[in-house]
Amino acid sequence: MRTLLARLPWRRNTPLLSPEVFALRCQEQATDLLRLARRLTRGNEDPAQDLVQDTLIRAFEAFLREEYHDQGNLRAYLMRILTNRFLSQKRRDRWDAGVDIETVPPPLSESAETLLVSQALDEPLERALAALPDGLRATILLVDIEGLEYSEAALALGIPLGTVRSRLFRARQILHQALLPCATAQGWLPVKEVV
Amino acid sequence: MKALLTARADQRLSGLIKRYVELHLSQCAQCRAALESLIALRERLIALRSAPAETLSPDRQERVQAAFTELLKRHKKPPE
Repeated sequence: MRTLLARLPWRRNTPLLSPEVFALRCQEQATDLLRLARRLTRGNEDPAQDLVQDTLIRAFEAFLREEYHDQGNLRAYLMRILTNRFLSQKRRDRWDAGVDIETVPPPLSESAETLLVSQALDEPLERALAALPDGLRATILLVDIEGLEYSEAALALGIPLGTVRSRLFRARQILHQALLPCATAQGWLPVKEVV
Repeated sequence: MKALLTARADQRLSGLIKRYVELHLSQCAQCRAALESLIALRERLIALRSAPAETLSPDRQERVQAAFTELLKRHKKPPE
């Protein structure tokens, strides 16, 4: 009933949540946000925890300023804030270092490897994901792992819908190539190249 | 066809384009194989969603809670 009411045109901009309930709902998303943040930061725990903390606080500030208008999909909204912050920071770092966001990242540090890979369900895939450039990794994490719609990912990444599609294709192609030797070694069916 | 196969693997095609892709797939073994590999990769990626869940460290949770309380207090404070 609440969802139905929220869809009515005259209720669109009426906040249905109290700040206390909004705060609780944000905190309920912390686990999903941390999973995304850890993969974005390639297993760097402190920056990942920082990202989640900042995201929750910024979302609450936006709500109090009545700037939260995403009816229903709070999870996608929080992931958008988190990804935006991560990529902005990366752009700043890379600008200082003279490289862009499409650059292949350096190898994983020992502590990051422990966090990302030691208990991974699919270690080869986690390694292949961590080796993707930031922009491609963020796209595939949002769409394939976190299940956001293309349009939600486009907003989070600040890119057009068509670029989401092309990044997804490129990211999957790189993952596919990276996983081929492993798949063959484990007896999985070696697949043909994407045309 | 690359972009269309990607969208087909994600089940995001509809209408005429979907029919065109299905028709092409019925006649092209190379694209069928490519699609199968895309779907297999996507399933492996989706499986990563069920990785062991962990939440914020207790000190971060405290900081978030403190920030929420402070922001709410400021928000409710009547303008002087």
